[in-house]
Amino acid sequence: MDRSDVILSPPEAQQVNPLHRNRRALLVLSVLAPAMASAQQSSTLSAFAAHSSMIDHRSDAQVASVTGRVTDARSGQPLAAAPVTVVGTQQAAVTGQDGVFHIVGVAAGIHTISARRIGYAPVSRVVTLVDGGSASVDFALQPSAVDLAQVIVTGTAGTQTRAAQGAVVATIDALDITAKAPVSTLTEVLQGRVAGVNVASASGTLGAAPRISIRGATSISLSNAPLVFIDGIRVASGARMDIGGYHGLSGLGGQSVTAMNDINPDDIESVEIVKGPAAATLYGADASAGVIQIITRKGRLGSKRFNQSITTEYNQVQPNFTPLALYGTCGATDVVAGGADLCQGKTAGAVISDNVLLREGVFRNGNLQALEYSGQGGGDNFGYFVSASANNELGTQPGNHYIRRTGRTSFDWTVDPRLSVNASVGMSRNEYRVPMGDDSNYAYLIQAGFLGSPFNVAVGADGTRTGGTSTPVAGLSAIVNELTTVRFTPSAQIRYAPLPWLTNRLTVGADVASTHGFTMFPKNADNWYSGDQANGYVEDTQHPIHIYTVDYLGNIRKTFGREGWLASDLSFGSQYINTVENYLSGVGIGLASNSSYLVSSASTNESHQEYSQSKSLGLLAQEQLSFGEKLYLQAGARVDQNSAFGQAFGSLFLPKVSASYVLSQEPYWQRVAPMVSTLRLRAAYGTTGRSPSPGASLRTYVPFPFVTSAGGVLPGVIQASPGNPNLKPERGTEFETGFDAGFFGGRAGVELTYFAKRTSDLLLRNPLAPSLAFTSNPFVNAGTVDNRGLEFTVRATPIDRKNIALETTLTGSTVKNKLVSLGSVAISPVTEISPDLTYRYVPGQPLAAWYSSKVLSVDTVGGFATVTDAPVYAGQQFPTSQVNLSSTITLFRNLRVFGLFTSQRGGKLLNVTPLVQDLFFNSSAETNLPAGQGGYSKAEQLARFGPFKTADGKSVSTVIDSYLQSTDFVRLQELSATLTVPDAWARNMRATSASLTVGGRNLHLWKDKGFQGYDPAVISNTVNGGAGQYATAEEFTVPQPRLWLVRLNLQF
Amino acid sequence: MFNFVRSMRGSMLAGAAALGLGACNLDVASPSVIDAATFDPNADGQTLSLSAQTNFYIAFQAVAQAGGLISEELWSGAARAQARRLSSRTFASTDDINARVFAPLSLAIASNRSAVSVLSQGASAATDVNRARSAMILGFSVELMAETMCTGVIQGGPELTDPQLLDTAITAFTSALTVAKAAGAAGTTIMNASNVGLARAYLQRGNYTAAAQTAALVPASFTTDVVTSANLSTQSSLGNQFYASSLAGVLVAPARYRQSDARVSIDSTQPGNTQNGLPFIIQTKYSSYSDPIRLASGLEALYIVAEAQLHGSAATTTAIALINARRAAGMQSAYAGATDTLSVVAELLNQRARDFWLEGKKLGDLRRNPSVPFTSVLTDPDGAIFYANSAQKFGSNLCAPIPPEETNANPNFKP
Repeated sequence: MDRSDVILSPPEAQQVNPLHRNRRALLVLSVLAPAMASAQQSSTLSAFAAHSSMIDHRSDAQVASVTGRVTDARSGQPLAAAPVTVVGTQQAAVTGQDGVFHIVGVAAGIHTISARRIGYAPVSRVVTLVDGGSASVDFALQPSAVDLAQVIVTGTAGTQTRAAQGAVVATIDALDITAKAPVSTLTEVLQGRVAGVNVASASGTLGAAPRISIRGATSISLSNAPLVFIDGIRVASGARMDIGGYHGLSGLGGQSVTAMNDINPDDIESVEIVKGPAAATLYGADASAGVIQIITRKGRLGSKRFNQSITTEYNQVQPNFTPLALYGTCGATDVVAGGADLCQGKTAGAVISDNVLLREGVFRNGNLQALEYSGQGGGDNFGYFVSASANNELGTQPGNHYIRRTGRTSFDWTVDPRLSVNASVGMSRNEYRVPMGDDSNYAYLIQAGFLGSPFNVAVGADGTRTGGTSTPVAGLSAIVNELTTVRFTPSAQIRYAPLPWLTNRLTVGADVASTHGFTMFPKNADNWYSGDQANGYVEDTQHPIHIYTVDYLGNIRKTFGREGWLASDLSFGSQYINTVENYLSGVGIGLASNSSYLVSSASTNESHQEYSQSKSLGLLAQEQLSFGEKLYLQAGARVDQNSAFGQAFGSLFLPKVSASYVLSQEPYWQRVAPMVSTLRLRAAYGTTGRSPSPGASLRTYVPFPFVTSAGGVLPGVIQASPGNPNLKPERGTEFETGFDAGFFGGRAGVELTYFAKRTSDLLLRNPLAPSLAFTSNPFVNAGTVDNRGLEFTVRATPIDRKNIALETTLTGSTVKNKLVSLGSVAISPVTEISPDLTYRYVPGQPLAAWYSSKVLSVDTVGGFATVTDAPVYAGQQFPTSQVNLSSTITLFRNLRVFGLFTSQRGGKLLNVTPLVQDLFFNSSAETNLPAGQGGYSKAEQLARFGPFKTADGKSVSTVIDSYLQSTDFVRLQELSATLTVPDAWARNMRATSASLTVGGRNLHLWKDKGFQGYDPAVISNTVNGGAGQYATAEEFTVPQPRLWLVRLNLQF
Repeated sequence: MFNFVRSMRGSMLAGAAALGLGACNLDVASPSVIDAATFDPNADGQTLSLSAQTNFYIAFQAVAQAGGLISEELWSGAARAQARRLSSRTFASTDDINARVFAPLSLAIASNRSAVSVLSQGASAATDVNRARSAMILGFSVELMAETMCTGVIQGGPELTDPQLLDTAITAFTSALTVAKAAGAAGTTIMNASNVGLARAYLQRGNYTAAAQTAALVPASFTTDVVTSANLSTQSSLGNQFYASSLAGVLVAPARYRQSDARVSIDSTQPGNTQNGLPFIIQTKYSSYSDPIRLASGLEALYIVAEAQLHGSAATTTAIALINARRAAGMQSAYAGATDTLSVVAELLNQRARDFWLEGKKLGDLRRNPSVPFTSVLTDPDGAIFYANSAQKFGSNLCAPIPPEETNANPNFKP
């Protein structure tokens, strides 16, 4: 950390604080050592500053102001959104686009002024102010690969520096990402940025929800998705699939959209990710899957200026694949008159093909048009931020669009040095329309690749082809699936420091979201649909989710010893969260007219409703000792109560301890400092939990109607679950250790972390004897899952010259997932396609491990394949390692070229698409074309079709392990160039500055040679919770599209 | 300003205090389920009893379908191997026995036992028709378990043999009769149905005298049904499942049920599919979701009397008279076959198979009369080809073993 003195402005330039007009200022310069070369000096300064603050608070009748500018020391460019604080007070400001800040009302006296920014080493300067004076303090921040002074707010008791944290809390500089990368959603901001965070896409359909997991899979029954907070307020973040749940339909056609993308990424300043129990203890009994904290943009306290930004963007969205063609081989009856049209004029044995989706032009280019506005400003002691955005995105399939409108306001007010207030409101309206997905018979790809046939294609006299699908494309595109969510997230935070050593923070807020879903299968005369959808079908749902958060945190800071060498921070607080969901759906079957699509208009209708509520209360305390700002020790605990716990269980006690030792602060380190400028060792141990579902502990009946003697139905009951009064949450315990090292003055840095996470007391459904006649098996706490792995982040600036700079970040992680035990509970294997292929929960193996008979050898002469005697372990569903590489090249200080490569290896998915075409319908190119011309070789045919025998000659009917295929890939995920146009050009547009970004997303994919699908990174499945949540499959799934972007940003 | 600071400080303290108070109340609403602690079975005795009865209705239909498959009243048109194995009598304990038979029957038994237990504590227990009804339904539930399963289990207890199960059913019917009789006119239907059930249990148990005497108490015109509902939202569980299965083409009738007998109502034209060259036919005895299924009747009582006399005293007169009456009802000429006891029993069961087609009785008939040739009662023998041109053959399983879901979880089955 750099601390240096400052030369203050002369008295005549000083501003007079309106509260103290009659007081004259005298500015005293305080010149201290330019850089603290020793720990002793640093400690002295720190203690001095703290002492000064205490004095100043007692004489708050005299005030002064501080103004200045924060710039990048390398480029000289102003740094926006850099917080500047008066240490020890609630007074702060945030720089604008011009890097300028302004803080007024600062008590006269000696103060430490600190400026920081993600990715830069913070700088503190000590100033002495007298009444009415004004100081000018400029900061030139050096980019730093290892930023131990960075302030983090997530997973800590209060706002603390990274150096004090024994567990890793990752930070994404969202402002930087959104400015340079081709991203338009929060999930894209998260993808590929942080080691250990896996963001798996469910499909390339616009709006499809991803599956986000951190440090491996832990729970079998509960969701593995992390908790999400916005500025300390718990918000809904899960998948939405609120429609299409009845009468043979699968929710949203087996797809979902995500609440994560409701927020405009341009409203986010940074994202902090708490990866596991070691760091998430203070988030309590529901945080074992990690925590994502979104820190939104705020106003510019003390700026006295109003900066505005307008961004307009156009993206072209390309399908990025050619739909599958279906093949067939003409038989003798096909080539004669009356046979298949495509076989006419051909001989038996001729291969025909048709690509109905290509022929009908189903997949075509979509686009995204976005317009965003933000304004940021402030006065002497207040700041405000407003933003509004409109995104219209058209997907690559008919009936696929996403319309997002967002608005956000934030107001900060520093009432006096002791009290500051923030109030924010976020609003959004998100409208998704999606076609039926891969699980539905009415999805485009499944129609063309599974339910269609080239033998059904009709060829007109002019050679025009028609047909080929069981439901025509017009029928598929006429299906409506719409989800519209209106969301309102108000929050308020009060910070109050009545005494220099006592701070309080109260956060109150809510996430109020209401989703309206609508599905319609229109009535038609062409028999497009069957079953209950045949004569017109509608579903209309309302699904409000309300989450209320009240969070209090207090902190007592005391220093002891000579020059305050020992600092104690005692934090205490509580957190209360109340979550209410109420899902109501109406279903109407049989419409008189498509123009009357109300449920009540249907000839028959029904309703469904689900309601759940959970409340949690946590009390927490933490003591942190800092020894000379070198060694930090933390011990803390949280005690949780939750309405879902069993009555006999009581509270959950969650302890944590951590240590962080900044060796590079030691005097002896100076000998190696020129090479290894920073070194920190850290270790942390902590526990969290994952609470059961609401009501899971209760002995319950469920409503179930009984039949009257006249055949009517009246409300009745049926016994459901015997409950479990001892039910407690799953318990996640994690130990992590590692180091942070900075080299060559911060130009390179390495973070390396080893983690060992154990989830015990797994919530599992205990299968009761059926004769006991409970219709729902109760949860019991049994079983253990381990996740161990390494994470690394390497940041470097190998080139740093006036006109060219290269910054590179390499992140990577490994995860070894293992089910240790299931206690007394057995989970039945889940069969996929064939009884020979299952995924199982077997102790000693990863969760949901694939099991299949394996082809050991192929005898092309004998014409058979030898397989194992029984199904054996055949791989795991999720990747074992990920590596991502991002680089930014800055040319001539105004052109930034950014690239991101993502990769993973070690996982296998079931590739249903070629399996079905090969084995069930003989409709793939490989099964119809001769070997060498695209067809399977003899060996490949035997491996797929058999006959299969075990080594002792026993016949095995079906072996499909050839379709368990590697999900390894390397992807050029993002590539963009951002040009900051010359000021003269900007002025021509009446702007103060302007930038132009062009770029692309999903530009190239290198996949395993054995993978037969489009995209190994799409997993089809977005189920949260339950033994089926880990199933991964390529199942006629739309791959991720390619996107080209042009973005213009104007600053005013 | 000072006031504002003070008010903020007050607000913060109030907020912290409120948060602390929140600890006192983590109660939540759970209207999706009924917390057992909030449900008063005494006050809701009728709801409990009728709900338990509905559980039996669902179980009855499930068992009648499974029994129909095993006894060849039905064939499965489904591709699922489990259904085909059930249909060909080659099934094992893992072939959907739990879902199809054991779990629904267990729910019916447990819920009616619970209802009987609760209602027995009521002030008017001695004359409570709800209690009588639940006892009667408990009897039918246990009796169906005895007729369908090789052995049974009641509410987590030990393995029970068929005679033990039937004795339990007899106890339940006897209890039902006592209460129904005390209830007077309100209990008449329950009393008649209980007598049919009791006689059926005696017959299955081999107590022919008691069977005949009990059955004789039932008026010839009496009938009581398993009631079904066409309510849209519940028809998948409470509607007539024979109709639903036929509608979907999942269950079809074997060709040997083309009998030109009004009692065996079929449609050869729907759905028009074939399997291995054999046309499907579907039942039309039930033509809507709301068609009731006969549970007990005076006609069944007549059959019980006739069969009990045949087995008990080899007396054929009553049986032949009933056979001829029923043949006439089916537009058949008078019985002209052999009049030895076995032949008459076979023809009696033949008529019974037609009269009670798809009413959940035929499997019990086959198990009760192992010496009767299958072909005489519209059933293929062991070893016959399952489907035309099929390599699969009929097996000999006539009862369902206890499923592994029970043996794995019930400590009584642990060594």
